[in-house]
Amino acid sequence: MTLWRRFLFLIVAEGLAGLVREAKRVGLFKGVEVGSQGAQVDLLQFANDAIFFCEPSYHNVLVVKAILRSFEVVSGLRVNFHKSVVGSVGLSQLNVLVFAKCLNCRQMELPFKYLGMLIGGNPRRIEFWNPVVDKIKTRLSRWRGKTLSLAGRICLIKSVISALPLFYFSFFKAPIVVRNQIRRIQARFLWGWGFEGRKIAWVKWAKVCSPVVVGGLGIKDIGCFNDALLTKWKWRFESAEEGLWREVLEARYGSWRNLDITLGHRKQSLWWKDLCGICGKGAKDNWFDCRSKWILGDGRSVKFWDDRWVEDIVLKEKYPRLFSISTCKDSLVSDLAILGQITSNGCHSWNLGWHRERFAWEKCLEEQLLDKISKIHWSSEDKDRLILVGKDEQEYTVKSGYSVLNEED
Amino acid sequence: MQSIEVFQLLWSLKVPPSTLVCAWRILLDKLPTRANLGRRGVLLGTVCCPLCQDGDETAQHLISSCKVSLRVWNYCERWIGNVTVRHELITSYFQRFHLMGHNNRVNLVWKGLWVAIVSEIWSHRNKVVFNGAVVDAEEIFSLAQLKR
Repeated sequence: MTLWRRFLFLIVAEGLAGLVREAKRVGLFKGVEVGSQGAQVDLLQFANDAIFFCEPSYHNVLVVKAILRSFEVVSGLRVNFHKSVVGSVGLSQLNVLVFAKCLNCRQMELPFKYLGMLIGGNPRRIEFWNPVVDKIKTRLSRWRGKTLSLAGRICLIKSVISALPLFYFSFFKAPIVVRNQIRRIQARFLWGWGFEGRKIAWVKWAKVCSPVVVGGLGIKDIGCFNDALLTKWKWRFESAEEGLWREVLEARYGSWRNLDITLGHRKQSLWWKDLCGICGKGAKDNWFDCRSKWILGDGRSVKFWDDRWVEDIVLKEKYPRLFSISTCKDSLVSDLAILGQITSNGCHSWNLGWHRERFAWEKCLEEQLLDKISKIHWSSEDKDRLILVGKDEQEYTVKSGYSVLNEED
Repeated sequence: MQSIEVFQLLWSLKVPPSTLVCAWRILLDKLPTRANLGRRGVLLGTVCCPLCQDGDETAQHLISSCKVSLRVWNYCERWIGNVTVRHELITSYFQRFHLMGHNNRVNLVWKGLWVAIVSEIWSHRNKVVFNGAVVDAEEIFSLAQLKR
């Protein structure tokens, strides 16, 4: 029954989206454009929330009002004006006040909460994380650490304290201070929370966080887990996942490759900068690129010279001489391979452009290179896949990323 | 390398977790034994073993060379009907504690027994220190048997 009701809800919500689409088509309503390539964002609906995005003009606000009103009439649902808010980015208070009067709702204050996440705050500030830390603390005070054995406390830390901040961690990078704060809470609880005075931490925290097989307890280290969760974004961005979030990011920052190039640009959001610092070129030892590797599909997203797709090497680094005389330094693998032309041993033939005739010793290098890449089998039907090099070669998961990061520390 | 196997073995045992954690701390020598406390500057009158009053109380001593625990292991061997090799080092003692000629599953049970005995020795030691109980090797072993 509830499932049926949910389905009905979806149909009704689609009605709202349809109205917006129609208004856009006729030219009455203009959504927000992101970036120069213009990904359009107009309406976000999730569960029973709906957010309209539009260009700041009185006309647009009137259209939103009209859409909402006609939706009310058609569906029989009502808009709760007490719960609705209107807010703006880079607009004067007066304008917002006018809009709010027109729509008959309150003004929005930043940061606001959407789907349990604070939006518009600065995750690099410690105050931003106060709700998370407080949540852990209140949860702890309700437990009586005294009545639990060490094993029970380990279990609670693993399943509850480590899991509480996950939602925030999957989106924001926590500052080191906050990470240490949470680690301290965990450690104190492990060695006896609720007792009088200070307790001796018998095993150092890094050891506790190491995997069970090397003598730790396998408790997740908050910092590494945060990084692993955020790296998932990069991986999702690189792989061919689709969605509005991807369009918006692409319009704003170009391709994911810019994570590596444009470090610390002024116009970038904090989120993007943090991501750069974790898994882009700014990261420690550039760990993600060193540990990941492409499995060729159609070769349309892999760069011939720059990416790691032959064994574990980057061709540019292995053959710098050839790279320097190449005419197609930026090309994709699919551009350089001559499709359909298969040599006698069942491999693709290659069309590598050179500036000039190669010297004899360069010819020798070229042969080596061709020999290497001819060993790689690929079919143009599949898509390229990025995998994490490791024990079992697999796609990036937070778990595998975490274990890599945890080993390195 | 050896220690990796030890912990893999330990956590694969089907034993109550509180016992396992106790064994884990013993294997790492991270229990508040008197020697350990003394090293950390906790003021104690003595560092000698509360069970046998003979020698410093380290995890090593407590498990493998204390007179009382030796008696416990003797009981254990009589019960199993087999003499196992004693090892000075706790980790290797744990690793070698199995019966020849049995498959892994049977040996996992014996390893469980080892963990039970060790944690029972520790809790008995606590009883002796804090509740003034009398040192009794037989009691330790029968309690460990019960746990198993």
